[in-house]
Amino acid sequence: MIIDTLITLLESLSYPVSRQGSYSSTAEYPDTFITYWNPDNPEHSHYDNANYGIEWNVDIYIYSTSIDTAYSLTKQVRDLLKANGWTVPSAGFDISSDSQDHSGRGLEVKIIDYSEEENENE
Amino acid sequence: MSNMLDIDFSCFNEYAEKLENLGADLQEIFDKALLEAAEEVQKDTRDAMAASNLPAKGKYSRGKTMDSIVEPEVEWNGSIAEVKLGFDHTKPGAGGFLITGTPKMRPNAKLSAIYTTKKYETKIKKKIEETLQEEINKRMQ
Repeated sequence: MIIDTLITLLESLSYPVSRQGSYSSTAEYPDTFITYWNPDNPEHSHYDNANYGIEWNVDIYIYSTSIDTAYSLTKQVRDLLKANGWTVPSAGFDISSDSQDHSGRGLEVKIIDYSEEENENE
Repeated sequence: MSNMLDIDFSCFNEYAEKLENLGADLQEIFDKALLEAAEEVQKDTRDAMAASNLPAKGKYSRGKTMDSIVEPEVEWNGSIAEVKLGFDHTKPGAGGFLITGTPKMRPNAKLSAIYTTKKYETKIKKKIEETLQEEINKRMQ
């Protein structure tokens, strides 16, 4: 599954990776960590009444107590995903953090999955 | 997260050409089309902010977060139009958190559907196209 592959890639950067919203309300955050959220999986294209490929749109959020680390890790994530076939159209954007100690950066990333199990027509 | 819908405007080139050939004021018409579309986005945003859709017993459906929903206004910079949507991040409120979520809170599904899904982007594009087509029809009568 695409998300599992994404998590494995992100974990290779040696920071905790989890789904957005998965920390408990009392949890303390690691100094630096990554979360992800998959808001949308539209069909990619249509031809002869059939769809080809599923788009996996994923938002990735990087939080760190160091703003420098937040920026540098965002770049590392971007470079890593681009090298592995993901589309990463921007260098990132600031996001609000619910922890006063952490700064947040976000990336919107996308990949098209043409695999058999995701393609309803095959 | 950009509090903007990502819309590829190249699909409107054909409408722009037709309108230009009919002697229309393109800026005025695109202003109207974008503003109407933006007003629909903001209405959907306010609807999504109904207390029953929100966490924390709906506390964000009132007060500062509701007050931070922007009033749409089209700004032109040369031939580029920009419409601010969603929440004004310079004002206090939790609008940004509701769209992106936080490590401790999932994104709000209804707001996320507005600001991040292709289905909603298609709906807004269609609305803009309808307005542009109406303007073409008016001038061809």
